[in-house]
Amino acid sequence: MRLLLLLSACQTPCSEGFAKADGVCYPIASEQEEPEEEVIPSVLDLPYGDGITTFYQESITQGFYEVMDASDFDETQVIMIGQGGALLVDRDSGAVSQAWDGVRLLKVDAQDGIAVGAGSEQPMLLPEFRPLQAWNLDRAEDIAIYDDLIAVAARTQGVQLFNAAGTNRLGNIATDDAWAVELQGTRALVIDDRDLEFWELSDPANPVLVDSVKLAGEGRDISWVGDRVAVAVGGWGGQVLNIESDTLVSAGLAIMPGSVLNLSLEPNGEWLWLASWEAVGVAWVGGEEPIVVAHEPPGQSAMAVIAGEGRGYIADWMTLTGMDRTGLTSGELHLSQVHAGDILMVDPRAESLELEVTNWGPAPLEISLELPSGLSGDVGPITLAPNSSDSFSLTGAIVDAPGVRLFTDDADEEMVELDFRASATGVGSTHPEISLQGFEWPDGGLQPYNSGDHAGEVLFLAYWTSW
Amino acid sequence: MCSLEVPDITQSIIERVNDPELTAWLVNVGEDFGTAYSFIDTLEVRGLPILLDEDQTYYRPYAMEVPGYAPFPLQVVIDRKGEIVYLSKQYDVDAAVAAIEAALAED
Repeated sequence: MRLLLLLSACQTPCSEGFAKADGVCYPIASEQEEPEEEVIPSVLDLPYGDGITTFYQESITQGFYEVMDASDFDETQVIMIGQGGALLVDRDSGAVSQAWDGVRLLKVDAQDGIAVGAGSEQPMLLPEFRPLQAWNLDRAEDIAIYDDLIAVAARTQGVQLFNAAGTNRLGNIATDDAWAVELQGTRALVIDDRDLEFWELSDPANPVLVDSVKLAGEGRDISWVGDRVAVAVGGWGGQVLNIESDTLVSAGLAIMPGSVLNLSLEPNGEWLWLASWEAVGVAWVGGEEPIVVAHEPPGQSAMAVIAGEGRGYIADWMTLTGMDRTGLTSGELHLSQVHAGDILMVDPRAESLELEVTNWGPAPLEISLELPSGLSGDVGPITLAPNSSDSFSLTGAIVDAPGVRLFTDDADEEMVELDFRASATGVGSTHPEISLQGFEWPDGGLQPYNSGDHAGEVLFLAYWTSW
Repeated sequence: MCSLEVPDITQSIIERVNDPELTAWLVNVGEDFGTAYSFIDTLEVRGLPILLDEDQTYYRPYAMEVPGYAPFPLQVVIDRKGEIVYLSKQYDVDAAVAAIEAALAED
């Protein structure tokens, strides 16, 4: 099963029949009919490098587990959690050593074999699934445990602080809209609306704000190792920050295809794993700026990732996936305009084209083209430094030019064959005539709207959804 | 994204352009009347027709073909001849207004 839904990070409630996790509405699953499979081209089809190796991919066989989040559990196991319950998963094999059925939790954190989960049900201590005491919250978006402290991010109800036994409420960080929390020592990082806040909790009854920084988008997940912090922002990537003398300093963005709602730093803090539904990515964050190094399609939908040394363990919907990045050495070709396999949609009126190529890898990349008859222009070779872009100028019969061949020394994309087709929905194409029912607020009476009635006018359309 | 931007479209784009030769529609994607109406009702979006593309007849081709675009709200400007002259990559008021004004300036 693969759920293909259009993503948005709207903070509004979901439609009936949908539930929200990480700012995304997805169908309340188990008893519901699954959506029909749609053939929508995704980044899986893109000619990205895949310097990441998948070393196991195990379907979850027992129960109806849709795993949504992952955390370290102990030396040998990670814990995955979601609709259906929680699973302990062997890091090396993906084997499930223990499964707890029947609890819907969406977020998990753990230390030394004690886990805490939060979601649509009461936050709980695992493995006994004991609800935290003194509890009176509508909803928990995230949970964290560190030493003797548990923190629960509860949107407008603040970040609630408990002792590690879950028996006493110790304090509360007031928030506008808390989406995620991480703990380290007596410090907390909190995503509050668009801010990342840094709190001192040595006296949990009186939290002290140390620093606060505006995020590049709506934050949905935090990973924190030592002085390095990564935040999943705006659905499109990871924002990397460094803590310098109690100050949060942004180091830049790791931009990924798909909607990145979860991420995880490796224990050394130098590599970042990013999970979007369509792709798992790895970025090098040990330098001045993050560099996205590779992508790999997940088995189903990468809902979350927890990183180990050189590895990422993916909460992959109804699959458990283990990935390894240690073979990465090459540059990585990225063609920003290409999608739908190797088809490049172009303006049907185009007589020339700039084919943009980007190297997202850590090593230089050499690129050359082979053109079919009817096309002329640069063919290279050009050398692209890491994290840089260039373009090839082509002229001639662009639209009818099948079989442009692009050669690289990207280890896994030595040759990409491109087919240029006229775009049916791009700039320059004719919009199909619109005929839909519609209404105006507050009246609400339905009536037909036809674009044909507005011939000669300029038409502006804004497509939107309530979620 | 949408709860902020949908009401903003009226104010920041349509009222700013303020031209009778501009037709602007807010096209709901994939939801039924009740869902769309209650959302609009909450935000009190006045003055622009709300169309229902429940089957995604018009939206889906964009989602299928256009890479690297924020899925919602997707904005499209169509000129007097019916050709698409602007597709938003993200919510960018200035770019949308510039595209509309350029299209209005053409005969």
